[in-house]
Amino acid sequence: MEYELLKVEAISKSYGSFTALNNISFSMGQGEILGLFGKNGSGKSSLLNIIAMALKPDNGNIIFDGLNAGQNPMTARGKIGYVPQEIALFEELTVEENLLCWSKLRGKSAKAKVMEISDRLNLEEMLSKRVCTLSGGMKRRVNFAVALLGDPKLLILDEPFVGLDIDNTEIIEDIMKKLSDSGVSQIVSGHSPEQLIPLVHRVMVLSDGQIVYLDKRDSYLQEAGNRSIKHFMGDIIRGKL
Amino acid sequence: MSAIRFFFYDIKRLFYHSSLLSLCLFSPLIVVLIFSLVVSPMIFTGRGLHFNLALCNEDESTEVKEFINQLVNSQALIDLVSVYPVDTVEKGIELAEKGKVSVFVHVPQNVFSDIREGDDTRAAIYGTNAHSLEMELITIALDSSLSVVGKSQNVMEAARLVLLEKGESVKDAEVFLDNATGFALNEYMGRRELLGQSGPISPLGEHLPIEYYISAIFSIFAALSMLPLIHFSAADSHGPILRRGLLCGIGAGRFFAARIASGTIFIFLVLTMLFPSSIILRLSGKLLGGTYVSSFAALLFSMFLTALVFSALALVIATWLPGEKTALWFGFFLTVFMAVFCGALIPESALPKMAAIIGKWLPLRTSLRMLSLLLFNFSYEAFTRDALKSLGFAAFLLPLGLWGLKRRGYPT
Repeated sequence: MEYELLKVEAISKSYGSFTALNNISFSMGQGEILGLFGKNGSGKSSLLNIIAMALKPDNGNIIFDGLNAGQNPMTARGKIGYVPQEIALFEELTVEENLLCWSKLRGKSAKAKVMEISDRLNLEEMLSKRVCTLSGGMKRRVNFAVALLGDPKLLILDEPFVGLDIDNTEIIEDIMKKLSDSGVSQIVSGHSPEQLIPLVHRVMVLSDGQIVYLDKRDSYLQEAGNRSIKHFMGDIIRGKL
Repeated sequence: MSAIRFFFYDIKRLFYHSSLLSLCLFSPLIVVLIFSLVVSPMIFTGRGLHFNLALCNEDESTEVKEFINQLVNSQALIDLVSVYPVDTVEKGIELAEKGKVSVFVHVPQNVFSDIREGDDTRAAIYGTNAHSLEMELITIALDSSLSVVGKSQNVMEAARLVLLEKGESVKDAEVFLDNATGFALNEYMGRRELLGQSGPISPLGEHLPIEYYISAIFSIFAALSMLPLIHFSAADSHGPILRRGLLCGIGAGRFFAARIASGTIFIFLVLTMLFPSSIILRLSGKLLGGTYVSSFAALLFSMFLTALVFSALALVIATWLPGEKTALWFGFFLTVFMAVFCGALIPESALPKMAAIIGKWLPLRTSLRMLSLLLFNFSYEAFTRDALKSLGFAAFLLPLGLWGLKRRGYPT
């Protein structure tokens, strides 16, 4: 890890009497892809939202790019791209209008950025189409494209492969690898370890709001041994290890 | 991120559903058109509701003659009805068919004696379809009058019998009966003055101006226009859109400002149909000697205020209620609640006292009053009072909506 881009320090979050996150700490380097796993309700979405500055933690700090993100939320948000699990697009607008609408740039530079992102994600042909006319997979690609508009240093992907066909999955996996190579860190959550593990550098598993596993991908595969990736993940989540 | 660009796209989103837009824009107009098919003959008489009525009386009784005399010459009803006595039924029907009178009323022979004997008695009413509402109102008024006269007559007859039992002469008892009947008729015909309420009779039998209903229709539709705003705002603030917006540099404040602006424009457009209505009414007033006093500038300001208040209310509902469906249903029922409690569906005088008091603190009531006064009877004092009240609503709802959106955007 050359440069520590993100440092999560003792983050906790409760909703009433339910503890979603309990004293979570970890750090991430530049260009690193962290795979986040856990069953439903384990605290994955809360953690992603806190890192994306869309949810306030009860305790703890997020140090992002050397700054305390809680004290500089606008600066931090400007460097974070977020791909929500749901399609966060304006269905009534065209793909191009959506990209322009969410772009932080103005005028010609905004338009140029939209064309660049469209080129990277093969969206040129659908730029003039309204989002409501696109297939689920296409919408996910546009959803992903929006997160890249601000040239983020950290990309947060909440279950980005749900409902994607093989072609769209390959396009997004390819983009993720390229982004990593260019120094963009990524946190990607999901329920399919077979699909995500080959993509990520490190694996983190949450259970009942706590980190129950955090290690490099190679270590994970080594520990899994003869067990399949999926079964090994199941054992971690169920606390059998 | 350009704020103007975001506002522009927000407007585009809101206006994308052309069917929804058409429904919002033209529904009040359709309702007004249907309404005016019935009431327009009255509006164009120049002073709101005014009847031209032909009357053929074949009852020779003194009481009915007195009743007719009162009706023809009453000062209390002079602005409401002009009665033209005719000799024959044929002549009356001819006048009604030629449109020279709105309604022809035929009082048959022996009406009064039938009433005295308790028989079911009805005057015949003729009119064309264009004057169906006047016919209905005359029927209601005559049925009501004849019922009151009949009951009064029974009381008078009982009093006459009491006098005879006490030894008064038949002549004195008859004189008492005639005098008492005359007095009762005078009081009944003059009740409009006693009520102290000017203005035409509404279809619901209250002394509410027809103009009130035009304002009520537009106010209700302005309130109903909150529903698409609630739908969009609730979906955006409860879903990932707002969260994404935060990360794309669109903070809750900018999001709020864009939605309030686009919502205000949307509701304002729903109200724009008031302009042609205002112009037509003003012209009809000038041509026909009416008394409508309107202020175009104040109308514009009131429409903006109404649109702003309902837009802010929509955002409050969308951001404070848990979930899009809950917010939508709440918005719908709140509109119905406001329409009832503010006297837009049921006259205020027919409401329980507490309901009328509650209604005065709802934005629909202020909007309704403002528009009604501005279209027909503008007074600076009344307008200022209602405009300040509307500004008060806006001052309360706008920060509440922004607070709600901030809570959704960056929940603690």
